[in-house]
Amino acid sequence: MDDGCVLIVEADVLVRSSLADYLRDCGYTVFETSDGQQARELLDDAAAVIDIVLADVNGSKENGFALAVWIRANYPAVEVVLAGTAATAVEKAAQICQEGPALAIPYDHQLVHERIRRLVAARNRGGKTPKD
Amino acid sequence: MTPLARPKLAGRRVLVVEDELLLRIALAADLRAAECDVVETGSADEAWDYLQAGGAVDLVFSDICMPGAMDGVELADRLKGRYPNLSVILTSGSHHLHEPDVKFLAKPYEFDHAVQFILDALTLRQGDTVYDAARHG
Repeated sequence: MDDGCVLIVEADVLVRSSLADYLRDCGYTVFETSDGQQARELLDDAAAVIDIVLADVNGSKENGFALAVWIRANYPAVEVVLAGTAATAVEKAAQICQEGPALAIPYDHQLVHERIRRLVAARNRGGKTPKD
Repeated sequence: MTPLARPKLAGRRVLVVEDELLLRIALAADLRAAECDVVETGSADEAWDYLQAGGAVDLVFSDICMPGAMDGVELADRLKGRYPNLSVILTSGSHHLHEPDVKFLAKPYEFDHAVQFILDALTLRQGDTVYDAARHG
């Protein structure tokens, strides 16, 4: 049975891992990459099993629009969902979650956003000087 | 895959640090099949970023040679200083570690063997719990 597969392309590990956890709890298989180049390599290997790409518009090496254009040209069957901010990404992930494969929503998606905000705030408070 | 998980290990959180994407995806999938929660990062820098932000894990399984400012050995050193109770396993195809206090798994490894190696390391430190309100609250 195909449970659905989402590829998340997001440079910030805190946002990416939180979205990935959420979508896995929704029942999806989730692949994670931090940039568009890795995403292209993965799609070239595994486009047949990837249903949806959820990509950050403001990627670290290329913006999400360029990746979206490339996917539409090369793998038109793959749905592309772009998000400009972490908050938008969470909303999009919640929509993906509602569309299946599981009917049950694991937890309120707003908790995901709160988790990301908490992690990012913690990083900004104490994580800038990893040599200490 | 043969069932490797022991029920008492369900929900244990493993951070896999590996820049080879397909290798990371495959190992992470097998660990999830063994009922571990898995966080994936593609560099030691990302892993440090995640942990510094308060991301909770029970074990870090890290490659040594990766792009970025930090390699796996430096990550393990920093983790030992900051999180002395955290289990750390290093893996590499080009380095061989002989430090008695660092667990090491040589590449290439069989996935079943790597999963069992990780589960065994988790079993050795039963007792700590991880609570993450966003996931379990």
